[in-house]
Amino acid sequence: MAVFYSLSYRWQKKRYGKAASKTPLAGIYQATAPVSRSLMRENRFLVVDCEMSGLDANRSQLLSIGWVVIENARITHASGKHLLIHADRGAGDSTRIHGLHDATIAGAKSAAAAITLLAKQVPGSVLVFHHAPLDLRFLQQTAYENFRCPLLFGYVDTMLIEQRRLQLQGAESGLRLAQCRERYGLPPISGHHNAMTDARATAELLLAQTSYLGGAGRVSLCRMGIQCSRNQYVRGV
Amino acid sequence: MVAETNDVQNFIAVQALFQHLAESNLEYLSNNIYVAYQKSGGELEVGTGEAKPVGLVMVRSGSLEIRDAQHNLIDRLSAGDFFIPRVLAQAPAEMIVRVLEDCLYYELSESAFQSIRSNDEDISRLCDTYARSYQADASKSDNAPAPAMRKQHAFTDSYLDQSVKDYMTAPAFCASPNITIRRAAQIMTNNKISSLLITEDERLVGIMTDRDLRTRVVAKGVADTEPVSGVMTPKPHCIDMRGRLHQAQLVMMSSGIHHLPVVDRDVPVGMLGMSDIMRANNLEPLSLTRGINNATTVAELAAVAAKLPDLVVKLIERDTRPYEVGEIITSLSDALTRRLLRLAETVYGKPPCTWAWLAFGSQARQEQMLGSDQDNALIYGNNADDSADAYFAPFARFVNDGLDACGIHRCPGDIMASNPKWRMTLAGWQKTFNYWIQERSPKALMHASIFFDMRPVAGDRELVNHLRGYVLAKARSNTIFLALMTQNALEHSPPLGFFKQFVLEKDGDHNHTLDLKKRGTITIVDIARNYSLAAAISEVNTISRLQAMERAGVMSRELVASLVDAHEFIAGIRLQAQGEKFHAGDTVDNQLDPKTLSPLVRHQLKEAFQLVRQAQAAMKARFGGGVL
Repeated sequence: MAVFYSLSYRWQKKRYGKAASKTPLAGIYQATAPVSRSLMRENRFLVVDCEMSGLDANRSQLLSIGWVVIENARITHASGKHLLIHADRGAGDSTRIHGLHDATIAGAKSAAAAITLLAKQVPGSVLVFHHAPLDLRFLQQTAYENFRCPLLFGYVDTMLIEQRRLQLQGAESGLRLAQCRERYGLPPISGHHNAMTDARATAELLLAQTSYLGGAGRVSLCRMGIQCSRNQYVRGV
Repeated sequence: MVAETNDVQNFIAVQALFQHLAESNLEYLSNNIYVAYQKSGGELEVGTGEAKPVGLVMVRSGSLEIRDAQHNLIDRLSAGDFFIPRVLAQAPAEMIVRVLEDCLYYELSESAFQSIRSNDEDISRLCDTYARSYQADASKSDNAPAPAMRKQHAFTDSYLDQSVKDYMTAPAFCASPNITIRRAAQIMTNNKISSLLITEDERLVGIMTDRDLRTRVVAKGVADTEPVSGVMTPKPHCIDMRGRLHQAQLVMMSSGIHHLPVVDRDVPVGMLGMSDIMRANNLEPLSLTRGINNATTVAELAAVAAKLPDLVVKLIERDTRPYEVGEIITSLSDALTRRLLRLAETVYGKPPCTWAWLAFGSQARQEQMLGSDQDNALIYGNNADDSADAYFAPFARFVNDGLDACGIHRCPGDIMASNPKWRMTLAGWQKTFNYWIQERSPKALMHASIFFDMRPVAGDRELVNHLRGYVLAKARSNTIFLALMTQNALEHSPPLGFFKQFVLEKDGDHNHTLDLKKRGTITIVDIARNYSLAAAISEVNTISRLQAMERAGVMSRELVASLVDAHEFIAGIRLQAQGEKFHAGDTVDNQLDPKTLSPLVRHQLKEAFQLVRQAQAAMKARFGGGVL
């Protein structure tokens, strides 16, 4: 797993490094990869959550990105960021789910600007998602459409961590964010359900999971199942 | 960017410490907050050596406890509570902050904490009070001739430094893992022991306790013909016979067990119970009993009895189970009563006839708590004549006054032996009970529910056994009476509203609290009493009644096990709250504000109440038919 992660990281870097050099993504291709043997405590984590107008990356688009930083196994509350993205295709049917209306979104950032801001946070960080494939598909699609190269980073998936933990215990249980949080005694997510509250909720879940895996001073990225972001989800590559 | 609903800021904005702050200050604080998590059993660092010094820690969810180096409980924290690491680090004794339930907490940076503290008078005052409470606590334990546990340097010569060998119960009762559960239970019953060691080739491989029988056999419905190896606790904690009592106590407290096998190089040689450790303590119940038995005046007795609340608080701190605390308190009340009766005899001379002193209510059930009132009476043998009452009137007053002086207050309803109404011959009592059982007035029912829990404390036990047998036979055959008792019992109902919300009392001084006795333990006591009247069960203690009901087949083993657990849980919370009130110097009562409980405990309490409600419904279906 760890070997595969570092191979695939190097391969991605080689393949897109040149193309990225003239884009806002250059910084993340110049940075060094997170070391898979390093410990939770030694790493900076960027916990990310996205809201989209639908589940299909070909027809739907990113509406917002939220993130928060974990350093020294503590969530830096002030690092929380919430970017709204201008939707040329409109918020569509999903309005009911996340409460983002066309009117709110009008005047928000362009997708390119949002990805640029996110890319500034990425170097030196391990990214964290709850159910990474969906968010990754949209992030990579948007990055590729705007800059002709995907985002490059190491990431962990709190849903996979949870799934593995439950399998070890031989338990079958829900993997939705709220269900996972409940198992660790985390409080119910309060307020409106949006990309930033979900990113914070995921960050808290990661702290809880690593506390149970042995503590931030003992759990390595490898143990957390770090993977490399690839372009596999991108249409036309 | 948009205006965000911000969980951290929303949370701190409603906490006592920060709720008065302006929006801008709240924002400043939340920008300097770091969120961290620790699972249960873990410890939080209280030193200030961190790269990023922490000014204040606030619990967001879960719970923590603070103990000093001797493991004395200093404080318990749940959502919204805070502590200041620097204060703990500077306290005279080393403090340990342990996580009780998975805990999400906020750390406020030292710089932000100092800045808000110097700018806000209220916070500064609160933090000073907080800091002082730790200083004051420490100075108190240094000056006062305090119990040994508080003093670090006195540890070496304290009672806890004594050898395990001197206090264990020997020899150890051992059995092979192949014997059946029933056989194990028989061995335990025959030898009057509450735990059995399971050995293979003389080596300890497991332990089987009363609790295991309850939780792993009865509650799960395991057949008693199964081998004991399937339900025992394998590889139990144990201690070497050369160990010290404080080590044993640590093991027992940290792993929540009440029986610790004692071994000599892996071979079991004895057993150490929580009560053995208590026996070693100078405040243990036995030494109080000795003090009571040596007292020659009421004043001396009162002086000994004054130590009782301290003992109870210590028992609570050691996580003694509620029913054991109830038994200990009751045994001391019994001892006080007997001593007073003896003193009365020296004052008034020999009684003119056979007699027995009866305890009713909680004392009869061996469930007395702090602040319980007297409920007692006298029964004369049928050989008594008019002179008997002339003798016993001042005699009983002497005892009742004496108990009152010892802190067991007079009964507000005057159910005491000094009241001529409650001094009768056996025949008179039989007639009275008969009247209560036939009469359908509310007053008769109230009396019945008090008087049906009766136990002899001193004198001729046969008189009481006789009376009880008579009453049970009468009550059992009267279905209308049982139905009325059931209806009466249903008037105390668990304090749950629609959707399992707590319904709080708003009467008198107790604004918005739960009455854990009236709406909690008493409901279970009532259920146990009614069923045992119906099945002519002579046990008086609630737990024993429930167990007897299961044996007699009048209640399912699942329901019995659940009710026993619910009773223990509610009684435990009540006891804890009483201990805290006593510590704080408040009046000890049965009230509790559920907000002071952690969310998990609150949830469990609701579950316990829900169960009681179901049991009440079952009782209504069974006995209510006659009138409801």
